[in-house]
Amino acid sequence: MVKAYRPTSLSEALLIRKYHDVIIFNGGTDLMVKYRNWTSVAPNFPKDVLYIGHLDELKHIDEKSDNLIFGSAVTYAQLLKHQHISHDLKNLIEQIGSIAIRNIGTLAGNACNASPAGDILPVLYALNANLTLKSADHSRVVAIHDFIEGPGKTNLRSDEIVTEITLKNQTFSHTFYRKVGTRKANAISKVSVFIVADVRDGRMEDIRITIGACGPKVVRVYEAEQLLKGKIVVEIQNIISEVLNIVANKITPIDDVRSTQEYRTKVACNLIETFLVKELIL
Amino acid sequence: MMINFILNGSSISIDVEHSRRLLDVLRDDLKLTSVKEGCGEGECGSCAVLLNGQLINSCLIAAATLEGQEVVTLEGYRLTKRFEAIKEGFESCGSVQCGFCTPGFVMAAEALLSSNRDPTEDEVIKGIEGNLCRCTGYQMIVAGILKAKEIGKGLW
Repeated sequence: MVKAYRPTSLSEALLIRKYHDVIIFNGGTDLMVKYRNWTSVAPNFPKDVLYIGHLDELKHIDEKSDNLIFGSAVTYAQLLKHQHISHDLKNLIEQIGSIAIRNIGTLAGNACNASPAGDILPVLYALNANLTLKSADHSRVVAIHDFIEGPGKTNLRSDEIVTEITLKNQTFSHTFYRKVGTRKANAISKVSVFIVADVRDGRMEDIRITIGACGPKVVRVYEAEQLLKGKIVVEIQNIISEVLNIVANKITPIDDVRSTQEYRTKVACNLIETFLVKELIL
Repeated sequence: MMINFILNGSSISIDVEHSRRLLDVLRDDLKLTSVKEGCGEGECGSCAVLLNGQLINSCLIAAATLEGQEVVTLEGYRLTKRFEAIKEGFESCGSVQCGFCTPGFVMAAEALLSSNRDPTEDEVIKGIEGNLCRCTGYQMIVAGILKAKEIGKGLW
């Protein structure tokens, strides 16, 4: 039977992490399903388990000079209730999982699980999220696109714990989030698209386009962003096909149980077109 | 692992494997069978209970995370006046058919009404987004919760 560690402080957790080979258990919404066993038989964890979700040091939410900083044990529900969170961010967090999942699931857990379909990941990519990783001996800050290396693979070292996520608490004139799945709540996305844009005086000052579940990692389409930046909004209609071409070439979706390559490519392009044609004008 | 928590208002200590699901602790160890296992992966809401007043799926909670927490199941909740209102609402609207999903829906209704005492129909629909029912087609459950809100005015 595997052992459980339930430290009372972050420093204790980091020492356990340093000297033992453990699985980190934060909210547990993914792990309890991944290691699920027969009914009435405890989940089958392959290694000792380090529980960190209860640590107060990982539950802070702060706003410092335009940055939104929150601990890795902060749940979706805690963010939703927080005064510093923008209305747009709240609206999209409400589309993740279900009420019961949001009450225990964490954003840091979604990042560490590193699923290509992780629902908060396109948001973290678009908002240039940084993760703070700590070990007993050092601390480093890694951007989300460097942190996630592939499906289920991150560059978290065996002695480290993600302690914090930092987001630029910017406001955008447009926020667009769509996830396509078999059900509104809880479904694992077939495709998800997240776009933030800042249009001022009819000009596209800033735009970030991210696509989930269409490759081994979330795709941020920098080339398309570059093409759109600085353009007069009414002229964007002329370059839509060029933008969609870039998108279609950039994503590498696969056929799997949830969907097909063809469907995913089509829907990702359609959603981006919807944003550029319908949402941008409003 | 020795775990101490509050269950339906009473302190309780149990000695279980640390990763044992709250669902199994409740159903098998403590015989609280209102908690149902549907999907076992957090999608159906049949095993929903309240953890510190918040709706959770007990199939996703490891026993080790319960230390010092407060759990309420339907067995405890049914002794409250709020439950009476939900019960009457559900009865009068035909919200219960086979009944398997009902305990989860009652807990979801309580979680909704305790955070929003006057939800709109859309808010009710959003409030039960994590619960599946294969009999009613949901409309009667939505109606039942809206009815319960009227019957139980002042209780939430």
